[in-house]
Amino acid sequence: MLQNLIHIWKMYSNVKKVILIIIISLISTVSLFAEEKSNVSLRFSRHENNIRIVLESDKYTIANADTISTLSNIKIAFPSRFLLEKQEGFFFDMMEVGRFLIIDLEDISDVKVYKLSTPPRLVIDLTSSGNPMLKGGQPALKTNVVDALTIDAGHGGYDYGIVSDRTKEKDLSLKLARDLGRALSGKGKKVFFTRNVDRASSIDSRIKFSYGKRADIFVSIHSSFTGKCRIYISSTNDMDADAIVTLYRQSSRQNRYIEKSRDLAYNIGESIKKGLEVDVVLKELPLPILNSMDTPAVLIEYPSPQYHEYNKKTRAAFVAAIMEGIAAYENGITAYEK
Amino acid sequence: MKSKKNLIWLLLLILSIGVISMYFMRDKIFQPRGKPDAVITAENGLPVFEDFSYLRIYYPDEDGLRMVEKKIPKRTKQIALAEAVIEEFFKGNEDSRGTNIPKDVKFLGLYKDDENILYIDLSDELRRNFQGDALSEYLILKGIYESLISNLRDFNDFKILVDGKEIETLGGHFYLKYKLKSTVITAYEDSSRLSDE
Repeated sequence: MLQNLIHIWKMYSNVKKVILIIIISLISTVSLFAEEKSNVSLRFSRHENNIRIVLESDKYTIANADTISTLSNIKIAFPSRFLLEKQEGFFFDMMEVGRFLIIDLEDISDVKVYKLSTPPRLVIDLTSSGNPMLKGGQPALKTNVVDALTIDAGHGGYDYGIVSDRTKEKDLSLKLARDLGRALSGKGKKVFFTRNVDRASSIDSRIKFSYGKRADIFVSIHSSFTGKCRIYISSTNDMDADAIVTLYRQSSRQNRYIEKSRDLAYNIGESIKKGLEVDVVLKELPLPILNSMDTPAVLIEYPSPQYHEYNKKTRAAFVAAIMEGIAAYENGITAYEK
Repeated sequence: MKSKKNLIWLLLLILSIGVISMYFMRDKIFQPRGKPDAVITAENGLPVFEDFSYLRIYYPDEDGLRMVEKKIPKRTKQIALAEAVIEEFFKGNEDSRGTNIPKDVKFLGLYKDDENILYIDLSDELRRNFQGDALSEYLILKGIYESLISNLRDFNDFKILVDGKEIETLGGHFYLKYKLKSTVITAYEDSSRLSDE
């Protein structure tokens, strides 16, 4: 065998030998660049309100896996890219981005993560808050019932927002938020305000407050700099983006509600267009307050007071238009139906 | 005949190595562009050779960003280039419409950490003089990020400080306490339509 190979080798000219050596070297170099993927298997089990997720892999992968856990998601950074084998019927949303695995949680009141050996595995113990939607084993999205809302008046305190003539954005937004809250309460809705007085409130504290209330929708009220009314929904995450960027994005909670948010924005936009006769623009923007909401969420920018007069009558018209939009959303009118 | 064939093989080999090398070295070959030296005339009438480079600055313009090339004296150090980018951005662009770039923002300093994150320290006028809505704020942050990333190659990300401190937000809509990339990168670029001047 060896002699045959030596014979073939001798038959080759020097140039061909050089080519052969280079080709072999290139092939072996390319293989060095290829990153080996580790196999990760995901199993889960459920007993009453306790859920156990087990991620099993080789010793190196488990030992070097870093985990960041919150009540809304678990981010696991493996040392290399991986191939995930998932047990059928796993009910949490997941994202695999490069070497990161992100598990979105819902209705969880406690998270514990620990590593075990033989076999090497990462164990995640979750305690469900007992939401009946999870008990069937399949989390269902809320229907368009709006019994409770969170209203967020933009800016406040030392943060004036846009100042035009004698109007401060923080004041007008608060007035509109209060008017809207009163009108909705009159209809039997439960209303939560991120602020109902003139005080400064950070984006983080607004998110925390809203997250705790678990309302059916979230409406943030701000001013536009133009004569147009703009309604924003969150930009969903780019799955192809750099993994680190995706991992550290404020949150991906809104991803699962994005279509509902789009419907809500569409319905409110249509009502404002008719009721106030102003141009309405629907846009997607990676606003942290929207990205972090675990409920359908919109940010409404009313037309700037420089272009639109705001008195008791016009404020009432604006509030009536938003309410009409919410009612249409409750009736299940989607952005694609009209 | 045989040597001719060998010669062809050799040429093909050299070509292949060249192509493969270019692939692996593409980051070093295609650096941010600089234009060739320009000849200008000094006050005394004699021609003077001076190096220029062109910065790509992304200015907010209506509902998107507009890229404008700005000619500056050549700077070789990346930190100096970053300073020039920030200064040019805050000078604004007279042709841009509906821009809300805050006025009188002073550049206070630049710092680089071990992870190649560039910290840009600006004066409080950045926050105090900002008058705009969510889109205006987004376009300012996106414009700064795009301008820096398209001219500098040594940094992984950028972070803005105000008077040497980390603040939560510029105008109440977007975080400033995180690095710029995670704040402005999104799958949907509808709102940041890029158009070349």
